[in-house]
Amino acid sequence: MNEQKFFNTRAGKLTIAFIIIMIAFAMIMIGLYKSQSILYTLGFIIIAVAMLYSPVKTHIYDKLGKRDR
Amino acid sequence: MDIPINFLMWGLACLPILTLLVLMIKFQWGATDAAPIGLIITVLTGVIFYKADIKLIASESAKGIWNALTILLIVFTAVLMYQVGLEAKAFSVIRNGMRKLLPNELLLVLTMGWIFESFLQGITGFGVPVAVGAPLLIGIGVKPMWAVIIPLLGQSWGNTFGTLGAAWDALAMTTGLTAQSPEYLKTAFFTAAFIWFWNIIDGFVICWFYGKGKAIKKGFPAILCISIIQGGGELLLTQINTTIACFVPACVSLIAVLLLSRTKAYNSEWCVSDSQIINRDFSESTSDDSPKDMKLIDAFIPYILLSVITLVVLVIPPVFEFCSQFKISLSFPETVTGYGFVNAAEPNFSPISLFTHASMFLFISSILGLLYYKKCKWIKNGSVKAIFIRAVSMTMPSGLAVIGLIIMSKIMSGTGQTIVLANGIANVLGGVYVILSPFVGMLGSFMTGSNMSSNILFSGFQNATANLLNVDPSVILGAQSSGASVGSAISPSNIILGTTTAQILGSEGKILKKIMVINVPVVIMIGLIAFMIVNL
Repeated sequence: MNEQKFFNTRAGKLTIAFIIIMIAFAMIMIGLYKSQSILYTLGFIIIAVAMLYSPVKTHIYDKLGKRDR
Repeated sequence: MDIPINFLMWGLACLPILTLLVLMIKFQWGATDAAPIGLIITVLTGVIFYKADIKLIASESAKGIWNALTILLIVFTAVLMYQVGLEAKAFSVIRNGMRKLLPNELLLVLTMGWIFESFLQGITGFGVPVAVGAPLLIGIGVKPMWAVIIPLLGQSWGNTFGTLGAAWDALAMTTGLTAQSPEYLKTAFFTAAFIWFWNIIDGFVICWFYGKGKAIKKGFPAILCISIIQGGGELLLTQINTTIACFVPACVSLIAVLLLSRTKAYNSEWCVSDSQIINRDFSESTSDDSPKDMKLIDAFIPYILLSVITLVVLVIPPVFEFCSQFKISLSFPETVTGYGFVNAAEPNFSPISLFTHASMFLFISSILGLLYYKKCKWIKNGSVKAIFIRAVSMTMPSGLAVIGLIIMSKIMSGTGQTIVLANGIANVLGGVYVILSPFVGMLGSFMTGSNMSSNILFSGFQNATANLLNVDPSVILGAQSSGASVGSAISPSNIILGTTTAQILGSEGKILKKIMVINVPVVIMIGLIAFMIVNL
């Protein structure tokens, strides 16, 4: 399995979401440590968006796609 | 704390858990899809109704991710161990070898799904028995869904006194019980007695799943014998040393099952041909792919290494003391809600002890197993990269679910929703609360995936409620921890460990539904027994 193909799979896309969450986690920790509210707020928003990828894709995007076809 | 405890606030605190249950059980959503929805609801109720600010939400989220990472390390390394065995075709050898060693299929299922998991729970815990047990059961021909359900049930009795008594120590520490004091021993006694009740039910339920009444009849002597060793042994040892109260009986039961297999009742081939849990086609289609020169002991090498390394590190005090020096932790600032609910600053939040963490034992065993299989030419040179890639691809989908579930439980706890949930039940029910006290423990481990976390979260509350209601705290605390132990089998974050290694990710709802019909009545029974004891 080459890298391009892996990131096109569901597991690959969830891996990208996981990496994004880890980056956001680092942002929150730096934000809390330096008392930068913008940084930890942004970090939390990014986590929420990355977390919602799977339910939105499965239960909204894919279902709308099927209906259009 | 000035959080109003009324029906609205209680209902709002229930909402994320109810959403999770409805999405997973009614709509059959996987935990990866259901957890984020539960999380968003928790955040909304936390901010709007429990007056949490963004700093608190962000801080609790980060705590949740940190805790989730420790679980994901276990998932990844357990999956890695599974992939090593799969690549070497060790599971075919295990299936064929174990069938010869234990010709009675029921005893085989009980050994691989209950007794071996109990042993793993006794030393490692943290979901390892489920993650490791599911592929082993699939290897002997159990259908994937049942291969997740059986270890979930099989390991759950060992949650309180397993992992060398970690969850029990948390309860004793939270409630201020002094080791070996009369209250300590009495609480340990009630906890172990309730757990014994669950242990024996575990055995019969696995028999029922395998072959209904026919299997219960056949398995009766074995269940009785194993349960006396495991449950009775644990009860006895809690009065001597709680650290080894689960581990020693679990080891003895492993020896006992081998002796049982030599007895007249179990030494010949026996199976229920139409068993709902066994995939007969699988057994027939994959019986010839095992390496001819691999012995049963070779196939078990990673598991033997896991047991030996874990034992050496955790049981020998100088080794344990040396290895537990290396810790990583994070620090978090104090956060407060608008209602004055304080989350104290944490200078060393949830430290990971690198060399005593279960994932390290799994990783070292997997790598040594891999090297051994490579040396014996059962794994080809080019396959190593593929093993790691497959392990990563199997771990990642469950990663998001675990992160979502743990953040959800952290935000619920950090905003005061958890405490409102428990207080609301106690306030409304009064003396009848005793019946529901194990439910609170179960709720804790359902949310956090851990008996230890449930005890940390609710033991203080249960103790205070028992004193308020003027009932014996030993019984209530026993019900708390045994309820948490039973609840560990229905925790989505534990279920997902099994569905990941069994490769049936997304089936968490189906599994939850099957286990809940057993666990909820058991918890009600424990509650009723506790109620009778306090009213004697």
